[in-house]
Amino acid sequence: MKTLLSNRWLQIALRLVVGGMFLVAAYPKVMNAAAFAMSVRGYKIIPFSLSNLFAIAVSWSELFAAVMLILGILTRKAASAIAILLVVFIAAIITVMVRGMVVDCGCFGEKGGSNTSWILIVRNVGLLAACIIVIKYNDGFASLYPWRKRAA
Amino acid sequence: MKSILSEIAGGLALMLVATLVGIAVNAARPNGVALIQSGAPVATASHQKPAAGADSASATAPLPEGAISVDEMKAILDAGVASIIDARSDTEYAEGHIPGAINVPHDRLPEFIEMLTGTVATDAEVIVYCRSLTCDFSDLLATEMKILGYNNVRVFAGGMDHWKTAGHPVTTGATP
Repeated sequence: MKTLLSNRWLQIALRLVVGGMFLVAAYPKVMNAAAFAMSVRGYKIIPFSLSNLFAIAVSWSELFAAVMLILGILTRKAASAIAILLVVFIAAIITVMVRGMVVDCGCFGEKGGSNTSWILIVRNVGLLAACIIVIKYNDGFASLYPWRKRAA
Repeated sequence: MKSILSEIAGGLALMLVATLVGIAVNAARPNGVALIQSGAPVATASHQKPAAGADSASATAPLPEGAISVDEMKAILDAGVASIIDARSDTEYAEGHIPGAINVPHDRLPEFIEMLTGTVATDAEVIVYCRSLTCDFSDLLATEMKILGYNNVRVFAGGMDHWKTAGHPVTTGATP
């Protein structure tokens, strides 16, 4: 199992899929912080006054982590940042569903979202699993800045 | 375990740096947002369950502060002085809405901003409604409209429930 999960081609594929999805998700949010802040306020979790700051923090963290994951710059830390974001997203979606609310997830910025549902949670759990595999088994192959080399 | 915690700490540090860069870029942008959002959200929806035996659509239920009643809504409609916004989904809107109301689904506002700002002036009297006293779509939309600069926005809290119960006219279809 360990051999499979540390397979370099699987690692590259996971980096590209997760990084690619987050890059596509981050771009419209970074370009239009006001629209993403509206989605944030729709969740009614973050204090109203902090909604804009939270929107900036999430969108730019997504952008940085996605680019670093794809290029292989501090790959594990980038995967960790995305994993932290995914845990926050999963918790937010669950609290919205528990409260019986239906809100646009804001996942891909102003036009590409879908309403919060179990499907979104399953998708995010899948992405989280991919991040954990990268954090645990990535050996720095095909990376611009591998800070740790492991024996192949 | 120590290694995992180190990676998580690294991830948090990365997020902090990204946030600081984001704040700097936002400050330099002409369309940047205020870091601390001023004002307060509109809150007229009641999340209390109706008392046993009570009709949730009752037009006699006490109104939340700052909200307008169905009678006031009818008078405003008859006077024709206000822009009326339906914050529900396009499906619900098509099934029946207040005559003349414009549909702006609360969760799709970014898609509708251009139409909204082109149709309704920021100094216009605006009334927003959704389904009922417990529905908060109108609160969410009214909040965002205030942030957009609409300074005369009120909520018809009873929404379509009260409107239909009172026997007022309803228009069906996708147009106002």
